[in-house]
Amino acid sequence: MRVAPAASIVACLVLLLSWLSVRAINPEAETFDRALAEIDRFAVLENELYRDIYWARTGTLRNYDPVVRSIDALHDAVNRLRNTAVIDAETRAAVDRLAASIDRQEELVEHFKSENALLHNSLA
Amino acid sequence: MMRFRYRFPIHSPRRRRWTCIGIVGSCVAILIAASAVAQAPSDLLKIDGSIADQEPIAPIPDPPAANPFKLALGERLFSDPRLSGSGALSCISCHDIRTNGARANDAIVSRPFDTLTVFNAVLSFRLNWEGNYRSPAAHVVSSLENPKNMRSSVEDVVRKLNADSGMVDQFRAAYGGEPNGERFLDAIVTFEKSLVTPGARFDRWLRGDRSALSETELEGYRLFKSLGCNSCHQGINVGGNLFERQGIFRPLVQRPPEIVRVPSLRNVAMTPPYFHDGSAATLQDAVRRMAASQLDRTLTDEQVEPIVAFLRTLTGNYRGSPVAGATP
Repeated sequence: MRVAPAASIVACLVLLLSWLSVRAINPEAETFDRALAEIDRFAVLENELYRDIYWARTGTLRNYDPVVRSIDALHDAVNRLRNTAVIDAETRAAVDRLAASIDRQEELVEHFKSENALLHNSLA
Repeated sequence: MMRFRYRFPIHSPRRRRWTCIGIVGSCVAILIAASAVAQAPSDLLKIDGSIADQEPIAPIPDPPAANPFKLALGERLFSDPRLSGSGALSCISCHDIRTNGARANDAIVSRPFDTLTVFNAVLSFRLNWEGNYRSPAAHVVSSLENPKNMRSSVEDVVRKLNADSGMVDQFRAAYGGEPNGERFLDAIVTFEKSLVTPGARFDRWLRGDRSALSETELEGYRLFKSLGCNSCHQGINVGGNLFERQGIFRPLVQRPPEIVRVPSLRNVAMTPPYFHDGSAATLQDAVRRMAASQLDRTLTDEQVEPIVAFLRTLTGNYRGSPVAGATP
C-alpha cells in the first residue's frame, strides 16, 4: 500500500525533470556563443582602428598598414556574424546595419588617409 | 629657504634677472641639441637592431607557406592560354614573372593604363590603378571577362580544363576533385600570393644590415622622408595602401582618373615606364615630376640622383634572383 504513492511521486518527478530537461535544450546556444564572441572581437577591432587613426592623426603611426588590417578584419568579422545571423530576421537586419556602418567607416577612413597624407606632405 | 627669500625677494630685480638667465639658457641648450640632431641625419639612420620598427617602410616577409600541389597548379594555370577566349593570351602575357612581372612594350593587348607588376600585388590593399578590386580573385574574374583582352569567363575556362585529363588529374591531386570555379580561382590566387620579392637591399638594411646601403642611398632615403614622399609611399609595399589625388599643385598626368590607388614602389627601378599613362620613361623624370606635382618642389640633380639611388635599393628577389627589367 505504501509503494504505490512513492512510485507515483517518483514517476511525477521523472516526468517533471524530463520536461525541464527538454525545455532546457537550446540547439542555438553554440551559435549565440559564437556570435557573442564575434561581437566582442568586433568591438576590440573597432577600438584598435580608432587608436590607429588617432596615432596617424598625431603622426606617430609609421604607416597605414595597421589601419588596412583593421578594416579588413572588421569586414571579416561582419561576414562571420552574417553566417551566424540565420536565426531570425531581426538579427539579420542588425548585422546588415553593422555592415553598413563598417562601409561608411571605411569611406571615412579612406578619406582621412588621403587628407592626412597631404597634411603630412605640407608639414614635411 | 628663509635665507634665500631674504637674499632674493620675489620682486627683487636680481631674482628676476637670474630667472630670465635660467629660462634663456634652457632654451639655448634645447635649440643647440635640436640643431645638432637636425644637422646629423646620417646619424639618425644609423640605428642598430630593430630599424624596421622605427621606419615608415616595413620589410617584405618570405612568401607564405602553401600546398605545393596547389602552387604548381596555379603556376601552370598562370601561363595557360586556355584562360583566354582566343587561346592566344594568358596571365603571363601581361605579367611576365620571368622579368619584372609586367611588360613595358606589349602591343598584343589593349588596356587603358600602363600594366602594373604582379610582383607584390597581393600586398596592396586594392588592385589596379583605380583600386577597384579588393581581392586577387575578383581581379582574376574581371581580367578573364575583359572584352578587350581575355574575352573569357571562369565557366568557360573550367569547361576547357575539365576536357583535359592531365589537368583534371592535377586538380584531383591538389584539391581532391575535378576543376570547378572555386578551385580554379584558389589555385591562381595561391600562386599570386607566392609572387612576392623579399630580400631587397633596403629590406636588409631595415633588418639591421648596416652595410646593405651606401651613403648616397641613405642620403636618398633621408631626402625621400624629409620631402614627404613617405606620406604616401610607406608600409610593407612602399605604397599600395591608400588612395590619393594626382596633380595637386601642377598637372601630373593629363588622363583620368584624378584619384588613384598609390602605386607600390617595390621593384620600381625595374618597372618603367611610370604613371598610369606610362608617360615617364625614367625614374629621374618620374621623381622630378612627382616632386613638382605632388609636393610643389623643384628638385636639383643633386637631390634627384640620391633619391633614385635609394629607389634602386627596393628591388627584391624572386626565387632567389633579383627582379629583372623587362626585355623591350
